[in-house]
Amino acid sequence: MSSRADASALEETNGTRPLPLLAVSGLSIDIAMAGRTTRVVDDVSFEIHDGEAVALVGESGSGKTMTALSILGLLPRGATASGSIRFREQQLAGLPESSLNRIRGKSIAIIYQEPMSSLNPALTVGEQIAETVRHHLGLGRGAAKERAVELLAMVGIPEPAARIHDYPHMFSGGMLQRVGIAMALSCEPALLIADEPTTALDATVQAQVLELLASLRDKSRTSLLFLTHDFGAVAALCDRAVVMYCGEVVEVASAEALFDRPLHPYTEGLLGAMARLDRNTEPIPIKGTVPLHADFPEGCHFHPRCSYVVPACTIAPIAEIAVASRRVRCRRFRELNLKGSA
Amino acid sequence: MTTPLSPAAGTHVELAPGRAPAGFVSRLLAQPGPAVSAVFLACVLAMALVAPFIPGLDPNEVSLSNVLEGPSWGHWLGYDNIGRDIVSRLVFASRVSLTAAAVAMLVALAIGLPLGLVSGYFAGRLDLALSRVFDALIAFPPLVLAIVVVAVLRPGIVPAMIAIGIINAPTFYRVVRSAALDLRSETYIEAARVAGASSTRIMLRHVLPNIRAVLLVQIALTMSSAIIVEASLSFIGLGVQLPQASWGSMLRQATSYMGSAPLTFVLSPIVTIVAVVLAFNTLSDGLRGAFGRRDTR
Amino acid sequence: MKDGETLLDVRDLRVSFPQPGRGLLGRTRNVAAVRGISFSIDAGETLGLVGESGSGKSSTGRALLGLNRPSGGSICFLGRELLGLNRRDMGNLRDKIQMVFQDPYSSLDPSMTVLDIVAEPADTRLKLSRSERVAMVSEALRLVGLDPTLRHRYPNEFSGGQRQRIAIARAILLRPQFIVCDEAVSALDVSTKAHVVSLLKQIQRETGASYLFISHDLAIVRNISARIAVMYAGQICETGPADQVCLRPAHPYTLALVSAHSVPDPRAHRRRPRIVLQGEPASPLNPPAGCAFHPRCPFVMDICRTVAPALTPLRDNGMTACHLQTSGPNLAGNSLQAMLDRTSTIAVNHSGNAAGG
Repeated sequence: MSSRADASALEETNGTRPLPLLAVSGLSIDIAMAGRTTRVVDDVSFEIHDGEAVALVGESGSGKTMTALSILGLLPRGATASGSIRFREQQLAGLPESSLNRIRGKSIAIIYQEPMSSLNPALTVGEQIAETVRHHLGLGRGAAKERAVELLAMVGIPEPAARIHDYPHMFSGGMLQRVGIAMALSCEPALLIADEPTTALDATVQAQVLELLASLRDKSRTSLLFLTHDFGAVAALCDRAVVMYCGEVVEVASAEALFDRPLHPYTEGLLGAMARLDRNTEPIPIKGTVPLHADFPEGCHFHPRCSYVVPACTIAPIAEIAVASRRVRCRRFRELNLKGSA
Repeated sequence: MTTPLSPAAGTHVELAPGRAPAGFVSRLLAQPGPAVSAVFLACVLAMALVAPFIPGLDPNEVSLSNVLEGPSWGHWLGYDNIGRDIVSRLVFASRVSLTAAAVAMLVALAIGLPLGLVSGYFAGRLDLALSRVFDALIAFPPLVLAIVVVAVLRPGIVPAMIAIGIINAPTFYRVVRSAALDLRSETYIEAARVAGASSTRIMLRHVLPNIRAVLLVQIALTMSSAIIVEASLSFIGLGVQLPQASWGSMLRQATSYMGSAPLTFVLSPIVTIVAVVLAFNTLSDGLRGAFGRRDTR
Repeated sequence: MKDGETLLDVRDLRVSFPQPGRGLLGRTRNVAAVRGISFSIDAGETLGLVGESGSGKSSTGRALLGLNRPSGGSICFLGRELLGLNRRDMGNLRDKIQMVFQDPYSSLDPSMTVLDIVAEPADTRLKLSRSERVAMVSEALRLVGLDPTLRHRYPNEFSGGQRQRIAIARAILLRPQFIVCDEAVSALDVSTKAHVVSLLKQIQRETGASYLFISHDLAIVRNISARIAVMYAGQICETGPADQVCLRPAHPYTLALVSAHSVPDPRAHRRRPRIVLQGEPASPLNPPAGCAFHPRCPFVMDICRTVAPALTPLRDNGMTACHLQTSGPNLAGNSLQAMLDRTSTIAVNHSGNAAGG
């Protein structure tokens, strides 16, 4: 993992960074509810390169799920997105359903927190995987079935040839999530979006799935957009992290840099609030609570909870500032010396 | 095509505290159909209530010189076969029909609600036994039973409607039972037990308030079906007896005079029945929509 | 009751559930969720109960509250036997034993105000005047850091963390001596978790209550508990002081659990020796013979497949149920960690053999 980060840093300094696989730029999402329009995602930008695993980190209300859904055009009714979502050379924002359907499942796939969200309980898992590959790749019945067995084996399900005939309810939680991953990978997508895929799983099973995702990323150069609020998973799996708070991106950095030295007080707060198994440090709660969408404060959204707030933080919205290969939305980052968790 | 289309659970936008989700009544009235129905039924009810106090509205005043006359000023629907004002009779008939339907609905509620609560909350053997009893009851064709009751006892609307109430009880029972069964797995029920609440307290304070939705819907639906049953009974002569008027008995009268009577004589009870039943049904749809997905997340 | 005196003593607790059989003539089977566990909690102490699905930790907590009927063993609370108590007597204890549930979104009745919700433990046993009731609830709300004027609001107007505080206020209303926290922070955000854990600790300091803190998150359990008991497939496989269980685990399952909790540090993560277990946690429907953990254990020996190990005391405080302690040829004197350090990662592969990595 570190060699890859080194390689991309080197490419950057040489100015030869290839075209990103996914480039989200100025994405904003508004939701109309109860007669009011609320902005739940505001001017979000980030990139994912080939073979890179990027974590989208945030708690509830951060807007990370909405951001991920908008990439695939899966926003709920009443939500409108504006901004640019480029997948390779193609602009995804505003694309009609028919074109999006060709991309979903084939070039960009998604796995959910609850594996049953994407599985039909009335069909065997073999049938479902086969249907996807027949539809997107045009494979014949026999080839599709073989691919299904191959995929189940790839995600570590024992006796795959027998298990393609099983229905979803015959799988346990961890196994079912692997099936979900197998389905998502069936057409060899370039980008896999994982929405908190391990949150609902037991600890030892979580570890298995994270190992699986790491090995798949290493073997097949599939890029990963990993939504999570668990920094442990970020450390285990991701190259870079995008931290979101109240609908905005507050920090972007490589995983190592983020844990070594965060630049945004919210990131520092999150790292400090985690209980750790390897150290006896007392978790320090971030004071205050996440504001509701209707009550976002003036100026920096985080300022009521920030230990480093100065009057200038409360007046005007803060812009993102780029420094080296990182970005941060904080006026004071240069003078602050924030504590990481490494 | 098995592309995953459902957004992840937990995607929501929270409302600020203090701003409770738009009130139930305003949600109901925001839908055009139910709003119109609610207003209409309110008017019908209001008229039925104040009818005796309105001067000039006499269902029994006979005016033999106007027999079977058509609409005119002061008598908008004309006169019936013995010269009574149709408008007056219609209004007074609504008192009878609505009361009869309410009796049936209340009897069904009184039987079905407590038993459904108990069945749904305790489940187990009690539930099995009660369910079998109500299953048997539901097998009775309502109208036939009403006819039998009336034939055995005496013609009259009240015994018939009580019988109809008993027949409708299983529907309430099932609806309440299934809602209560759903709630059993809610954590707040367990939390109430841990807090020391007795089963009775849990049923009355925790289960009942949370099944308001299905209950109100069922009440509206039962009213509408009870009105039809009453009208049917009276139409075949087994329900309301003369000189009392109900919508069904008015219809019975009118059919004998179809050839010679003004249109309004026959149409007025029909249109009234249809309108009221339609209103109750639309209202029940609206109630379902107004309760909708409870904002619990 | 003074700190240090034994408040709760559980011996050989067993809890089973009937599982309806399959098919027309399927016989009802009994699924043993808890298969004979023993532990004790002193006044003012927190015991952490850790485990995954099928471990039986939730069933244990619920048995203490009388929410299920244990099929054997004894639960001794303040000298009184709880098993076999009729409903009324159990109800009389509700002011001393309480519970905080996992899901703050379904543990509060959406049709009741905060005042009614929090007051319920009092409403069911005491006759209070209106002002006494309000005073009691306001005090509880203040203790959990909520503004008492919010008592007229409904639950859906609050966030997850605030709802959990309301649930805690309800639990502490009558100042119980023992509270079972059943995954009380698992459904909350990271920063909210920290708040609620800190609140629970503060309440313990102020009221002297004991906790049974049930969770799957070992890091949080370690932070709040003095001692930890690790459950697997309905049995306790290790107990001991919190730091010891987390830093020097004596049971292979505990080691795997510690391993599975990733640390927020990519370099440390790569450096740590890790065990990644194969398969799922054992299901109570079909527990393996011998030691329930043996199919997934990287150190499995022949004896483990046939004989279930008993809890044996360790050199330092604590106990573990593992044959490695009593008959392992490799162990004598070595810690599990030392055995693991020889290979950086152990993953039990498909054929069930341990493979170094």
